[in-house]
Amino acid sequence: MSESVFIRLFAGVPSDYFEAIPLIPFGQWLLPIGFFLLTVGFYAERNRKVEIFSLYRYGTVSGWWIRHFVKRVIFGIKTAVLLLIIVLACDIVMGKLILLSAGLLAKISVLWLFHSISMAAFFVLLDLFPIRRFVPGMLFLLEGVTFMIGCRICAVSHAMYGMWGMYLRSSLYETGGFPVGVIIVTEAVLLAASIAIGREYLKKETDYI
Amino acid sequence: MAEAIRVENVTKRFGEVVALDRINISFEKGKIYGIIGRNGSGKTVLFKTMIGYLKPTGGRVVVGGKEIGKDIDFADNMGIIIENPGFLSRYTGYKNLEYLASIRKLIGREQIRESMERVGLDPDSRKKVGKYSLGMRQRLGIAQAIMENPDILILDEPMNGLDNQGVNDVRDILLGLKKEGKTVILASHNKEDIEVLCDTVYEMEHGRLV
Repeated sequence: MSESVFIRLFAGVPSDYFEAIPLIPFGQWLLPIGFFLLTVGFYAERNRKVEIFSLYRYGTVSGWWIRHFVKRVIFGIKTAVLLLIIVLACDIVMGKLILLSAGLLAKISVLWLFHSISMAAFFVLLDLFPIRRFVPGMLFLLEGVTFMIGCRICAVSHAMYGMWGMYLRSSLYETGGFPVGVIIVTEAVLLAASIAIGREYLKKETDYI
Repeated sequence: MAEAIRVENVTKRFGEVVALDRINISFEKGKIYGIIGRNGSGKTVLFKTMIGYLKPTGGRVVVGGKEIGKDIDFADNMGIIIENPGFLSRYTGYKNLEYLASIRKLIGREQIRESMERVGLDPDSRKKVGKYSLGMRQRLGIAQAIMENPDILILDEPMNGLDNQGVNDVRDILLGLKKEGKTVILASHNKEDIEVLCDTVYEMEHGRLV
């Protein structure tokens, strides 16, 4: 099973490692997240160039925010799906697809997609603030640091954001883990909260460009 | 003549810096106004405040009877060029305008093509904007400002980077827009542009009208 690239990159870090922080599987987990943040960041930067001509065309700041948010999150979903497809294609080429059942594939993909959507939502929200150039690094750190805390302190591991996209740390896996339903709902709530916080922030903001 | 924009006692501060200091101006419909002043005199800040991109620290901007930031966030009848025109560099000029036009959905392909032809750009060109010269970008900036037939045009240095032919083309376009009853407010370093085009000229210095 561990030879499938898809599982190595998207299933997460198993909990039965003898090391406190399993660096190699953790690095493999962070690899697609790094690509994801890089692509989403590139898209954000590209669109920023044309914002001076586009913003006023929306008529209202809240109208701009909703469309901007939705567009960017949809781009995040497309990027996440593309990454899944590319890695799956690698498994097909290497003849490893046989190691994956449709059910396993779906479980891993859904968890990774929801996690990517919440990351894309945080990205759009944080991008509003003057810290925007640090956003990809901050999200990468959020993922890494919360995972490491979860590894070291078992009592809080289910509440750690860095665990939430990992199939191997979820209740869907045989060793058990965070409750998938609760975490998916939590990520949906975080998405809605990002929209609401952004809208409130923009109401108080005085300089848009 | 009817009023297009009224700037009432507008002050804009960035921390301790006073970028606009109690500005009062009224712009009437169907006229071309020139704003001159050195770099840093407050022209661009004034333009951004009129568009709604910056909220004044004091005073108000009224466009078509509606107060920016209170009744409306941005005026719906404006076309603008502010600073150096930024576009999606991997798209063609036409694709860029199509993207911007898709936001308001007021115009179709024909109007986009017409606006590009009006500024001397080929809408069928496959050249990416990343390969455009500064003058071509400026022409594309003007095309995006006029394509939706706005009543008010706010143009910050619209002649930047244009050759003589380009400058003459833009002058003709602006005079044509004036005849159509549009209000044009432009900032320029070029005194000739101002003399040829403008009905009224204001000068700014240290955030104040002088």
